[in-house]
Amino acid sequence: MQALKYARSLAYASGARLLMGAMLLGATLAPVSAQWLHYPTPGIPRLPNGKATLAAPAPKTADGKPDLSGIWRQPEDKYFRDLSYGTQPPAMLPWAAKLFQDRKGNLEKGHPSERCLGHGVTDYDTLATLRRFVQTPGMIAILYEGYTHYRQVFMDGRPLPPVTQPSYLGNSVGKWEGDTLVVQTNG
Amino acid sequence: MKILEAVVMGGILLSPCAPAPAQWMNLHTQGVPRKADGKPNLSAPAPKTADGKPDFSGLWQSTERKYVDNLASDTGQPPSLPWADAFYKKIKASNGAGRPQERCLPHGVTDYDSLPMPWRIVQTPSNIVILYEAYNHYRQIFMDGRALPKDPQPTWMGYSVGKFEGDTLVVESNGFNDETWLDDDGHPHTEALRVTERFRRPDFGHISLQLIVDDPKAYSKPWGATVPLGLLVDDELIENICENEKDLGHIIGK
Repeated sequence: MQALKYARSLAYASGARLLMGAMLLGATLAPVSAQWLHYPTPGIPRLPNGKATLAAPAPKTADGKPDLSGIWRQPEDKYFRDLSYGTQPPAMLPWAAKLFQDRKGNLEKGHPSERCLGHGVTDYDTLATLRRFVQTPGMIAILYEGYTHYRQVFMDGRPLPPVTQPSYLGNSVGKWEGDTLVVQTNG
Repeated sequence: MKILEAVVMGGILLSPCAPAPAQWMNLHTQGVPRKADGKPNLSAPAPKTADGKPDFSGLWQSTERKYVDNLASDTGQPPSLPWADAFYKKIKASNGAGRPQERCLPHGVTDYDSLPMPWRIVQTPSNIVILYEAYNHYRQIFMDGRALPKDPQPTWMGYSVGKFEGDTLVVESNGFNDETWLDDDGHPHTEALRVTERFRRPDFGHISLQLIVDDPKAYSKPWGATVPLGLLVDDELIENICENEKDLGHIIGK
């Protein structure tokens, strides 16, 4: 199973360094064997041959909102490796530029994953591992496979709280703008 | 002494984690029946889902610490096989040395469920998710009729499927590793462990959660406890990510 997990990452790997990075990041975790390996996901539109038709219309919830429920993954991890991929380099302040260069220079020594600490929002969201959206009217939970961590996105209209003590994953509130779910996070 | 020990242990077990203070301090939980003075009416009838099932959604917490201290609090000595009894006595004699939490490793189902830290039940027709505050971990309970996996790869939280028997939610879990302890007291289990959780919500503010441990390689017959849970209103989970795996092993144990 360890091998299968690697294969998941490696299928999208494009260079030796990334390959090593993927293996190292994978190696610090204790991956779970795929349970229910041949269990067909219910509620999926399928072709006669049983394959899922991913181009079918997106589903709606009972109250007419887009339904994001399901297991999702980032098909490639280029944004996980570099969030600014394909754009101009971000306008880093001097201290941030120095820290960034230091991290590049020492091959990312000090990465929180060294100490099993998990990711933040941007790298969880761009990581090429699985996550499930569990959508309820008042709250959308995101279950990340990485580190078995979760986030809650509150949909009940509450405002973001004042930041008292910073946390790893922050506080998130969401709202619908047409068919787009907009999530704001602080703290 | 027993009380003092419990207080010290409680403080210590929480200490390797870094909780953030309650965000949304003055939160007003929606959908809760309230009395004229605005206080929640916890003895109001339990809610139902749109499809008429009991709705267990909400923020819950064990109101009895004794079951995480010792899952056999009410039953006396569990029917331990000799090796399990010897393991338990060794843990007791060493004041709990070697517990997984020393290394920021998580709890198992029985001690997460009975820990006096909040957890949220998120109920959907096909999947019930439990978000535990402790260690920021979650479990999934599949409600779509699938069977438990045969010969599963052992995991910390196992594999869970649930069904309704009348108004009771019955959750069966298997596929555990043997790393977790059933409680803080050190009752062990093997990979043969099966846990049955029976959730009943007699009124709005309370769940009665029966935990049954069935592990024929550690105990000669099933045993367990019934843990009372209370609904937390106007409250919220806070982040709890373990970031100190160095100290606990030195503070407790001998």
